[in-house]
Amino acid sequence: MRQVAWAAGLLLAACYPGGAETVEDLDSVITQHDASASFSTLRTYALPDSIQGVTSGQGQPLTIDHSYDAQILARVASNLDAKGLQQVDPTTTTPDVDVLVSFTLTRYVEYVSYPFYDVWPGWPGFDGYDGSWGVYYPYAAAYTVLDAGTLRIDMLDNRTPNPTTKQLTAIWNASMQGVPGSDLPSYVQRLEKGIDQAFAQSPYL
Amino acid sequence: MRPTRLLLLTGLLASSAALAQSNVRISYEFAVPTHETKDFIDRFSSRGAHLDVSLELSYAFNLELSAGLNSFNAVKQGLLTTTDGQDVSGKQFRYLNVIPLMGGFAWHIPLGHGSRLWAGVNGGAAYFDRVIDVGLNEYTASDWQWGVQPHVGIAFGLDKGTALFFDGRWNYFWERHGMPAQQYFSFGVGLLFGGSGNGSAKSSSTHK
Repeated sequence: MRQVAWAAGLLLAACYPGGAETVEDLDSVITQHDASASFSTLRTYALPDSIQGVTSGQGQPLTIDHSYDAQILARVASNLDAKGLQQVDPTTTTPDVDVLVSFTLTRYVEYVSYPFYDVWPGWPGFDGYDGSWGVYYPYAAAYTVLDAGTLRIDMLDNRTPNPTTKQLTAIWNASMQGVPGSDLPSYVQRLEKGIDQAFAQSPYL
Repeated sequence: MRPTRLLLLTGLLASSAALAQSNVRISYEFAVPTHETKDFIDRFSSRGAHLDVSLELSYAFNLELSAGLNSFNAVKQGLLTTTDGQDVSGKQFRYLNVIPLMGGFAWHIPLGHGSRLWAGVNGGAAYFDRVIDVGLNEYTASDWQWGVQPHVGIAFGLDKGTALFFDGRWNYFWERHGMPAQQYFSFGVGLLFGGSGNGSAKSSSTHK
């Protein structure tokens, strides 16, 4: 009977969902757009030749390697061209939209205290304590570390500037989010795949 | 007010204890989603359990109280459009946990030697907890939804007032607060306690 119970327990445990198993599983592409914007009349765009680093409001900013900027920008440009837009030189022609590409690389560190009694229940060394006790760290004890990267594309509409508020409207925005991992060329490939996906899931462009 | 309720409950339990058809059922359950539930999570659930308390009100007519848990999960690729207008693509890890809390009535037909057949309908509500993990983000939507739960079962008497049983339920919950209607079938196998074979035979003969 005990063996049957163990077998049933293992069977149930085997069926439990595991979630993400590789860094690729954590890749996602998010796009948003201004539903009132006129995308059908877009003809030209301008694209700066560098990717700028932007810091997140949370976490610790990390140093960005810019050795693949040209490759990533070329991928963005090829997708815009494929949508029928024409790249122009902003020094000679005012483009309909400015397409800005930025990158955020952030380390998130979580400091965690835990109920030690519940983690090692019944251990004789905890005699006199119970589950209501926790651990106090008089210093910063790193428990969880996650590096997250976001490549962001903003499409700013030069046709509808608002001089009163001094704002350009971002009529389209795409974020390629993920965990970079240690293999930079592989991460760049994933970003390029994400750029293609961002344009593929935006049929209104 | 509270002592009155306690007295009523005690009376009900005491009288039900005297009736041989009252029983408690505990079961392991798997479930198969259909319709809108299948659209959200297209994979059967192998994780579920149910606790049913059945109190005989009159011969073969039982009040049913039922609580359970059905956990679904699946991986899906595709585009997710959120309520705030984001289009999100990536590997979606989808989870659906359903906690139905029901009450209703059922007819229990004694077959002798602790075996029985039953069929009934429960009504009540279920808490639906929907979670989608995409990348580093999590999207959730949870709410109670009203529903019905027709069910049938068959038990085979073992000994000492226990029986092995198999049951099936159709779970339907109406649309609420923008959440679509939910449907799934669940099938259980478990143990029935109470309703001994001797008691059933005695109860049957009294009414013949």
